[in-house]
Amino acid sequence: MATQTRTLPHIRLITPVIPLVIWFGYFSLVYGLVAVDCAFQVEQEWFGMDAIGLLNLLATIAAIALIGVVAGLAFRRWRLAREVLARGVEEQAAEADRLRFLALVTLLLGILSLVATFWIGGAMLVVPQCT
Amino acid sequence: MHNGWQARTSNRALGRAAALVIAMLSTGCGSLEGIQSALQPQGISAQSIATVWWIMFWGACAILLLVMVLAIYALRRPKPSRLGHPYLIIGGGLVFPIVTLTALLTYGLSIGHEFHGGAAAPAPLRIEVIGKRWWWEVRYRNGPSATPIVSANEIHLPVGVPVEFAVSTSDVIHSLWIPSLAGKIDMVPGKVNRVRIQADTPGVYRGQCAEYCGTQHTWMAFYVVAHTPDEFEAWLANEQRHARVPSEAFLQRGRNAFVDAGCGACHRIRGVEQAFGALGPDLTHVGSRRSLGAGTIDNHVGTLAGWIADSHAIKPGNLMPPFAAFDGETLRALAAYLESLQ
Amino acid sequence: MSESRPAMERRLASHTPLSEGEVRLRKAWARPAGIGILSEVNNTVVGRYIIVTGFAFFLLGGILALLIRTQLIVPENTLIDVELFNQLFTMHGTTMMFLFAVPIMLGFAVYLIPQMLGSRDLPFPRLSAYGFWCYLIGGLLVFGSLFIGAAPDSGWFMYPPLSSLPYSRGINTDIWLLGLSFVEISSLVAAVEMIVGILKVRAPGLSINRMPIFAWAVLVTAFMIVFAFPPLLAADIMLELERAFGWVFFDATRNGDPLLWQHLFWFFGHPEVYIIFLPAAGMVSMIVATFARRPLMGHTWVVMALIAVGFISFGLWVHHMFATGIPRLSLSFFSAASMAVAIPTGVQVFAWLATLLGGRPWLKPPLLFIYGFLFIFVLGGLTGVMIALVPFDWQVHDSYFIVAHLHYVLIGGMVFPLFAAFYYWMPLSSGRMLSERLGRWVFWLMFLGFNISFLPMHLTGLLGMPRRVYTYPAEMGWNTLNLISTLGAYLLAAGVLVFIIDVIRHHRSGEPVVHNPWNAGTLDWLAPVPFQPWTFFSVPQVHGRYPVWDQAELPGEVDRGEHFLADAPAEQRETLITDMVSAKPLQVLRIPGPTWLPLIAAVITSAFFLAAIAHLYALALVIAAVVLVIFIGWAWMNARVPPVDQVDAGNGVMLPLYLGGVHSHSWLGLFLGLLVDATLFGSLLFTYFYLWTAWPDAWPSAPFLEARLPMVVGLVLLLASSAAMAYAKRANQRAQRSGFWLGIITAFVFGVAFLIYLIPLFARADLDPTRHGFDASVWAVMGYHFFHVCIALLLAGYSMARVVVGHLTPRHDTDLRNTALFWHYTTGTGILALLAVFLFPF
Repeated sequence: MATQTRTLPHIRLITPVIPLVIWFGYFSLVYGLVAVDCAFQVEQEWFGMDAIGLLNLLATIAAIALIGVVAGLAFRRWRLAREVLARGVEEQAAEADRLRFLALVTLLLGILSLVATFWIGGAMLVVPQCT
Repeated sequence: MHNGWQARTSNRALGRAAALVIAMLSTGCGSLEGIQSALQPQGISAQSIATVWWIMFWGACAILLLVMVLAIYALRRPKPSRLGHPYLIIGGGLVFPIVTLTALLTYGLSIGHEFHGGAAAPAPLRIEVIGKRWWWEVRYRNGPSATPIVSANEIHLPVGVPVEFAVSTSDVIHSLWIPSLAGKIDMVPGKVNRVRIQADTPGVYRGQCAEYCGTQHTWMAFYVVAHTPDEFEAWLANEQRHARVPSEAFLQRGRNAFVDAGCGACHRIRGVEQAFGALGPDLTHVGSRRSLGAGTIDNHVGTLAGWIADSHAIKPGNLMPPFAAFDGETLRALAAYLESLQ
Repeated sequence: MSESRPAMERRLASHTPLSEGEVRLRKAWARPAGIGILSEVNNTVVGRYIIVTGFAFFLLGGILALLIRTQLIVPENTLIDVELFNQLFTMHGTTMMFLFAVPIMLGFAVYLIPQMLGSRDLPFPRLSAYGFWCYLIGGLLVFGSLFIGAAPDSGWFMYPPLSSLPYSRGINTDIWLLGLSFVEISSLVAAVEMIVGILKVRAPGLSINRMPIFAWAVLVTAFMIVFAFPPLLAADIMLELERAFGWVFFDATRNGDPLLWQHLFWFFGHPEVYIIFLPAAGMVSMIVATFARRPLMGHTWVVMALIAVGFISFGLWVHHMFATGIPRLSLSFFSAASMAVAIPTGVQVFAWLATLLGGRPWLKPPLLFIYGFLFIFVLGGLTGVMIALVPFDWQVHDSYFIVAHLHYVLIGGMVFPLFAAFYYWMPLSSGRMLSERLGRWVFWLMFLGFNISFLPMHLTGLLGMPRRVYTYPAEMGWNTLNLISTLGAYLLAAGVLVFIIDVIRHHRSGEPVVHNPWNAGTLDWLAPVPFQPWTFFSVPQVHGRYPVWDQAELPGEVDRGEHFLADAPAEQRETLITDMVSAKPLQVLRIPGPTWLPLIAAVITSAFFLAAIAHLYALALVIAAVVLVIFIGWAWMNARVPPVDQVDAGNGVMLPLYLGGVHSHSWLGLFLGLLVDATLFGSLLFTYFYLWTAWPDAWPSAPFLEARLPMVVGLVLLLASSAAMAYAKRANQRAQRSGFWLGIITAFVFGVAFLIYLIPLFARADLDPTRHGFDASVWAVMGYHFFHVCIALLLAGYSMARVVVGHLTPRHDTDLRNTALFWHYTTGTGILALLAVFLFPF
């Protein structure tokens, strides 16, 4: 059995919640934008589009991209940890196991954050502003 | 194994219990009808909500059944089941909810827009309802500039057209709720909330304050009378008239008692100079209303007299002081006068 | 059973005669005798106090519920008058949420977490004791108000203006606002304690991926408390300021907004529901694994679900406000988030199902309660999805449908797991089993009683019955439904009664056990029962998620003292600090033993709140000063320079007694405390911005605020003082005494200058907090910051004193690091406050 060791990437305890933090930031931003829009009846237009609508759209795209990147990185770490564990390197087993765990939690939270972001973004397409 | 035996008895008991609960519900509840029932919709908003309720109800029953069947099956098999696999978590916990909830959310977002006036055509009739502790002031406005017709504790509207409701409060938060017609809308200090409510069938419905508003939140109700358009016009024309000046001596005595006792400091009767108050309900056509004390009791001469003498026996904590000083005959005259204000 | 009775007795018998190390260990952990037990701070004692108190409040809240149901048994009932009824339902909700559900779950956490994580106690035992006494005194104060007829009566949600002075003149509301603020202190304290405990005080080898689910649940819950309780505290403070001093926050007639309260309240109130549910879900995962007789399937998925629920629950608060007239698009965001939170909950449900299906379930009473939980909670979750749909919520909001829904999720989601937990973990405390036969009676009475009571309420609500009514007309079609509900409530109460009988009975004649009666796999069942204060004769080294299953020899090894800390050479209580991720041993932490300090501090703190309720504000200020002195004295005893640098933790592993700076548990504790504080500050800033959106046309600007100079000077002073403080910290590390003094005195002087310059400016400015919401929120934001500058100055003085007496040295600099952390935090919030107040809106 191959027993070569590789340096495993470091993963921090805070990493798993990053997708959720992005989601919550996104959520607060679009909520705040709509609140201000409806309180002040903002009628600003940018590039022929409603300014607030455009900002909301950009925020949604940015949130999806950011969460996607974090989830993608987590997926790669998870795969790497699985490979290391499959190779059965005794001295790295505990570390790889921790990596696999944290990476999988990050990945799953990323998927969930994506779903939540899609739903909120979808609501913007269906529901008119300020009625 | 003795555990297995216990498991089986418990399962049987569990099944019996579920059957018992279902039986109790189906026999105990009786009908879904009532003058305040969301399940007997009489307007388009309430109708679309009742429809979504029944869809969700049957969906929820199916999901609950699935979960419980799986859980009970876990107790009943001799060895670990192949269902006990991580795929069950992925399928049941992730894929299934994402699919069903996306569908439900899309449906949910697409309905209910008529309530917030989604279709932009201006509603011909606007009714302003102002929540008070613990009654409702109702103002009818035909067009934005017209002077309002003020009434209380009863809302009349024509069927078949959306009516704009502009709701507000003069004290604490209340909530206007007519389950037969639509969902509720809060009356928040500093705000005027606007919704559109449409009744489709003529009839009498009941509504009630839905936001806890202090001592007599319980008896802050009202009736909604949905008329055919012609009947509504006739009713509105009558409501617009000043109060009838009584010609009978007995009723005149009642009117004088009303004025002398200072009732007019709180209550307005259009056509009576000394009755200008705004603290209590407008009494111009009080005799035509179905209830007293905002849906607390039926309205007739007897209850009117009882209410005047000691409304606190009927509706404890309400803000009208008791008027126990009238002698019996005067009290009867006063009640008869009020009843005559049709 | 894992081990035959004779073998176990042999093992226990092997403890006599005691070794010298064991004698010292027993002495260090000995409980005080007699009344002195009230000075004990050990988690096994304090945890039990909290659980018993919580259960007592459960019974009291239950009695209120029975009175409510009895009043509603027939229409137009006159048994209970309206004034009392309004107090009853307000106090029922308040008691169950604040005095029962949150504290009892934290009580279980205090009691179980150290054992479950293989440690001997929590890192701040005196703080848990202080929290408990605050909770007990505050709870008695709030509940006791019922007996003098002055109980809060504006609903447990206390919406202004109903709870504002014009509509609530008595002290009822003040008791609620101040009494519960006092109780919330205990939850916040326990939350900080739990986070530090779970992250740092675990058995060696119990790495993050092996941590039991209950610990994860408590960790997430504790973080939720950190972020959810401060907005409520802020709202409490603001409403009390409005009531007592006329400051405008919620009064719409003077440009406040009553909806601001609803935002802040539900930003607390919705997470609160999950704060109650998550620990219970953690219990379910533990119990399901034990009774399925296999490891939990989808462990990682369940951890993910707990974290996700914790987070997303902060994006749901407006779903309690769907009918307030907020724009539909905003509502849709919360509708979507409310649906999103159903996914992780579904993951947990299916993880439990998969575990049961993949195991060999053993239907003992704890699992029976879990089955009841599954049915009730899934049903409640499904109705939860229904009311996430905005139009449907417009119909059922504030109707009996919601009463049914919330009791399904709370009683199903929390009370049934709680009873499962009682039947499961009771032997840890008593060394005896509760009766299986009575347990089945308890279950069936509660399960049937609950469903008979609450299932019909869904229909009652759909038929139009609103909540919080003391009676109803006879002709509404609600009579039979209400009658059934009331009978069901009595049945439910009968079940609880049988449980109490069983608990009393089992203390006398329950079947005794000494070790792991359920053959569970986690460390809470490692030691012989009932628990001793030290729990483990040696702190175990573990290698998996279920050490008792994975390491067959572990119980014997631990009892023979073959692992860590089998001795207490200094006759002091000790536990191990390990790495947050890998759980490698880092430090031997000496923790305090019995002391009266927490009880005394709690009593004096309660005096502060009593004085405030009685409107004796001068007295309250004096008492606050006394409390401050006590806390300084308390802190003074901490973090001394240890007598030796390193000690043998067992098996030749040498560990330090002191870890400085960011590695110290007290630094983490302070950091978390500042998160609480920052959330409170954020709530005040939110108030400022929110009122701006509420009154777009009536937002004034004070001429004083249009001058930029005070802002610039303030910012410069803050940044300069922070730089000086950073310099002082560095100089101290390099043992440069004079540099330290230069830095800290400079920082101090700049801080004082900041106050002397800005406070008179604000006081003279044309701001009147009783006039406009703008003025009040400026005062709130700036006042809060000025208060923090004062505390920062006090901490700097404290650090100086510690240096003078030699408790703070270049290497033992935790006090200074903590001071610096607080100082920089104060600078940060100050920058935000000044920028917001002076520059916004532009």
